[in-house]
Amino acid sequence: MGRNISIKVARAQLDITQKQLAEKVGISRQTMNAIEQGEYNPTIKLCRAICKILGKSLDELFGEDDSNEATKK
Amino acid sequence: MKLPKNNLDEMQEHKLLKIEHNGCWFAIWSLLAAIFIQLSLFDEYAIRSIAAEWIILMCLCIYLSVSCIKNGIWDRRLKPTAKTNLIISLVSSLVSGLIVSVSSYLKYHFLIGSAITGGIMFLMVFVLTIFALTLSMKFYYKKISTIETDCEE
Repeated sequence: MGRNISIKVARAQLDITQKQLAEKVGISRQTMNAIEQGEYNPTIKLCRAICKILGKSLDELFGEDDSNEATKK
Repeated sequence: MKLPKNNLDEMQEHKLLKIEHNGCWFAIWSLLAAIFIQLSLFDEYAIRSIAAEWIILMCLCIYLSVSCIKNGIWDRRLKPTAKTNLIISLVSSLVSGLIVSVSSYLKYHFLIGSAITGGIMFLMVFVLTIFALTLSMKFYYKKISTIETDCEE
């Protein structure tokens, strides 16, 4: 799984730290970091919660495009 | 009684399940090893010495088997076929027979007697294993057909 850069960018736009975003979503910073690093694949429920906080769509944050690194096999 | 709130998020929960899964398999193999070691070491009262371990192991195995069949799960890699069941039964009975005959020889130094004891163990384990696997397979297929019928509705 590749790193999720879109979340990091969206977070930077809103000037929110990883810890603050994690707290708003209701997860640990450890999990938020794992999602950004592409080490953990979140459930759709958690994806939607992150999208809601960052004001982005699922496709913008979790869709496959150039901003997100390609999936490594 | 109301349980306290879950402090874990979904990734931590996932990791905890993985840790518990490893712990469960460690317990199963440790109990099995403890049973065989005690059977090989103790001459008298061997059955009495393994009673507690055996009961715990059986409870664990029954719980896992019933839960899996109830949810229509057989195994990650193996498929429920007569051929697979036959191979598993043969391997498990061969291992049990070998352990029993070796431990019997180490205790009594009587080759033919040990071979016969091992042979009897081989036969018993083979018959019981293939019976249990065939019965479980039957229940599994019955459950799978029920789940599939429910999905169609």
